[in-house]
Amino acid sequence: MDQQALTLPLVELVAKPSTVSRWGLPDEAGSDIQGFVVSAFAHLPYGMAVFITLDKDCGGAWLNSLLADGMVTDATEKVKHSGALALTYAGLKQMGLAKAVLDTFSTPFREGMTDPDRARRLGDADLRVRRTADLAWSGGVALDSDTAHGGARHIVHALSILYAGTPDALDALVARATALLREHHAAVAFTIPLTLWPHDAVLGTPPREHFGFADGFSQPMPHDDRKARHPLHGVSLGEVLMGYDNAHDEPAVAPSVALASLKDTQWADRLPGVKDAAAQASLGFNGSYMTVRQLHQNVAGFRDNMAKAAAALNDPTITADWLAERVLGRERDGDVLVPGGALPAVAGQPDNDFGFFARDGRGLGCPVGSHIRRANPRDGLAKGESSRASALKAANNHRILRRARKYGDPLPKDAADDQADRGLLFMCLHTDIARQFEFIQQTWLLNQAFGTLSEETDPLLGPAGPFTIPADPLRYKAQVETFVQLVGGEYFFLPSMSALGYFGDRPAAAP
Amino acid sequence: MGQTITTATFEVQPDSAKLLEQLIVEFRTSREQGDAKPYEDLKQAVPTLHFMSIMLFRQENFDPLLVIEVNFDGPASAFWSVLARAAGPELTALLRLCTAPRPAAANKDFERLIKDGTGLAAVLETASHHPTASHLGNRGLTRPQIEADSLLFDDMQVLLDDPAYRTRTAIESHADLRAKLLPNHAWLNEATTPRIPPGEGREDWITLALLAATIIAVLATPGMVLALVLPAWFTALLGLGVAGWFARRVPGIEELWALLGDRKSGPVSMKRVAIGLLIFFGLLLLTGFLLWLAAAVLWVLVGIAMLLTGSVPPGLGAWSIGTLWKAVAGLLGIPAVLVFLLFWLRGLEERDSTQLTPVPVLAVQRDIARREDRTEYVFQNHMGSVVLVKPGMLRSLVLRIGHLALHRALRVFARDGYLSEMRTVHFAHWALLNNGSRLLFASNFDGTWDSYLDDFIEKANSGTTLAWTNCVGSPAARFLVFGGVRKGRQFKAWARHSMTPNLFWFSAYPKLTVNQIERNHVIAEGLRKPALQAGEAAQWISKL
Repeated sequence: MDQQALTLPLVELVAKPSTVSRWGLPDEAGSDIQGFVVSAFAHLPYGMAVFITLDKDCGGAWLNSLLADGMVTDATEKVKHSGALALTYAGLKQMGLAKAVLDTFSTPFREGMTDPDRARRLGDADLRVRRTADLAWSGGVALDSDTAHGGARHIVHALSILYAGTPDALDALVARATALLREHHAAVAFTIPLTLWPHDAVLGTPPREHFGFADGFSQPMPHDDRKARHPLHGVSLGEVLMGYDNAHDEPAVAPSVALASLKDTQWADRLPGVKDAAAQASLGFNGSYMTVRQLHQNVAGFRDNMAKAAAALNDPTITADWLAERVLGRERDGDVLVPGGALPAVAGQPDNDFGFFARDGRGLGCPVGSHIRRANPRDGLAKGESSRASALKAANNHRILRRARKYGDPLPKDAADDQADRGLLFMCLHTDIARQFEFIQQTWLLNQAFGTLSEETDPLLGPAGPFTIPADPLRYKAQVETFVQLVGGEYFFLPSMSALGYFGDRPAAAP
Repeated sequence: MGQTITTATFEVQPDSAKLLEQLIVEFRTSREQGDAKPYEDLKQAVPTLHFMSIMLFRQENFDPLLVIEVNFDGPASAFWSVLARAAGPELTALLRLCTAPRPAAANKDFERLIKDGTGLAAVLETASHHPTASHLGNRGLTRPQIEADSLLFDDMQVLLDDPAYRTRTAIESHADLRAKLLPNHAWLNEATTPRIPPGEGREDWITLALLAATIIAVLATPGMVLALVLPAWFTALLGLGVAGWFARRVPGIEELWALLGDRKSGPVSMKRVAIGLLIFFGLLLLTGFLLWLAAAVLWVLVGIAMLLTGSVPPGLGAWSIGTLWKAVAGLLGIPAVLVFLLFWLRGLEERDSTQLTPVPVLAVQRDIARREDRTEYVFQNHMGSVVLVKPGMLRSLVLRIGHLALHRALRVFARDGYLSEMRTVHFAHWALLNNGSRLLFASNFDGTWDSYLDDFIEKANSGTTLAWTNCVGSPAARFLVFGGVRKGRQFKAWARHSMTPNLFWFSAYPKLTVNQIERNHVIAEGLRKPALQAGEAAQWISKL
């Protein structure tokens, strides 16, 4: 689960009638869950992130029109094009939702990613890891006031992610969505084209992220039944979908609406009740929160620094590639580093069923501070053999379902720096933003005292600084630069199909 | 040298709380801003001080409370006067806004302090509370030692940039580094004292054993008393009968039976039963041994008395045999007493209300968040919390005994920095305030508050549940240690609600984690040795 990891989901999680049943859900549930939750749409290589702004008190007509046109697809079957839809807190406000309903959303979602205290914890206050002092975009609304903050150039209210099998099909989808929005007091603020396969020729096979690494192999495997869970990657279903039991054995907390307000509407029957709250109907059931971060990758800088930092180590056996692989923790093809080499692939795919503690406790293969080990330490933080299981369990309480795609054109090998914006649109799903995404970012990736390390952060995502590579007889300490910078980002709410219907049914305020 | 954790508390004049908060913030900002290194004066003036916090609790159920928490080397008596010299005017200004402590004796000192500004140390010492339970992360490491180890580590990192060390053997590198570092770190040649003096270590064990024996003796008392008036065999049978009768009525008793099984062996694992019996009989034997010791002392006294008086007390032999039987009856009565207490306790646990969704005061929550994670990319944080203690005799007893047992057990079993599996706590303690009606928790820890609480929830849940389950609103526990804080979100919400922003917080070494302090010390200890064996050297160099 290399969070923020420069990700290409190779394992095809295509929506089939049986997909939701793999998570312990009845097949019918698939028609209420957005397809995006269970699938990365690997069969649809062309994508577009459409960032939407809404007029004040616009109600839900814009959303209804997208729904009616099949722009949001559910998890029942594999389709020729797919779409996901998510809303920011500012967007929900803009649609005119009642305060009583808004207050039921989780605090991080309401405060937003640019809240000063949250930004500080996420490392975003550090200008070295921001592309520009002002973010290009955010949801930008403070919890305790209506004033915008964060200084973003675009305030985003909703995000529609569209996927298609061909560029033409995608263009048609985007044009149709744009027209529909314009008709209903909404507009496209900007778009980011997302790519999956097309750059194999430039970056190599298997498909890779911009730095040239195949990645994205590690995903949590949610299941509602504890006994049916994968021993290494199994997590509670409530970690990715609200309404189901989470890692703390209680239904993941979900936003809700008073049943009384639904009287005499279809929603009284269509929205499920909230456990232990008889008077509330759930808006979160079968939905999730989504973290979105547009991360710029300085590819030329990365290549250049790997060569220089490798040379500075004064060891003729060390190459730029060797160092880059240690920064990631995997070989370029995705096989995790182990002492003496890499873990052999299984059936052509990197073997992901490994722990760190027994084979590589000291990190002589995969450095303790490498990106994949910080992003998901697995059992690596155990105190000893006897606490291995509990360390793994604890680490699994912070996993996220990753749905990232890269954007921008690849930089050919040996090409000079073209200053172009390219990187990753990091997207992940979770029900507890603070315990899942924010924890990974702050406590693992950017923690200067992660594991046994001191005064260094993630070599890939963090600001410039030292990076320790354990070795015998003596560790190496490389000096790495800043390679990844935040362009824009926000927390979104990704509702179920029925909750989307409810939002779509909100009336516009009388002029 | 031992470390001490203590807190001085004062009731604040309610109308002055706002002003008091301002003064504390001024005290802080005067140390954090300006040209000098933050807190340098305090750091120099109080060389034994590890952490210090000043908190102001403003909660709905009591008047504002000022809490000054200090963690330092050595005994409290010497410390307060040093602190008073270092920050006398500031602290006195705070106390002027507090009400005089109620007991007349303390009152006199306080009046004098308010009048002419003298005697601060005495006032602080009188107002201080000692922990009911505490944990020391780097036990026995004084602040000068921690600082010396850290400087040594930094100097060594500079030397290690030389690639030549990669071609040398570990033994050679050790010798070379030692030669290069010794001139600036002459203390490496000085004799060391053990971190935990053997006497202190033994004392911890003996105290824990005495505590266990005392608990058993107390539990055996009802049976023994009963055996005075009833035949011993009848008392024993009655005890077992009562135990059986109550056992079936303890709500959720299955959970205790389930402890006898594990995933591998099914409902009853002979290994676990054997361990359980071993612990039970071990404790009985221990108590028996201590009783025997007491009896032996008694016999010697009786013998001396006999020698002196020249007469044998009538019926002494028969008396001693009878006493033995009564003691056995008492011990056999323990299950009955235990099960009865569980029945009582579980009844309380079933009926206690919880506060699962406290309504947060947004402004306070915001202030707490503002003061967290001050260093970029987290090193240390502080948590201060006050909660109310549940009323009633049993709760009161269980809280004190639970904390005492937790404290004594930690002294014996948590000496390597680890608290369960977490090695992130520098100093943490609980203390009872206000005649035991409120429980204070203060902790200086590494990492974020969320990760700290997650560790409580995931890795140290039984101990944490035991420590807090006797407090109003805490998540429902079963048998004091099950359930409770495992309800992670509920526990976090409850704990967050009990907190106050840390208005003033001093750390002597804000960039050193418990883990790094231990690592630095291991490296320093290795460097103290003139030469290392091959295996030792490989181990040592892997820490660099």
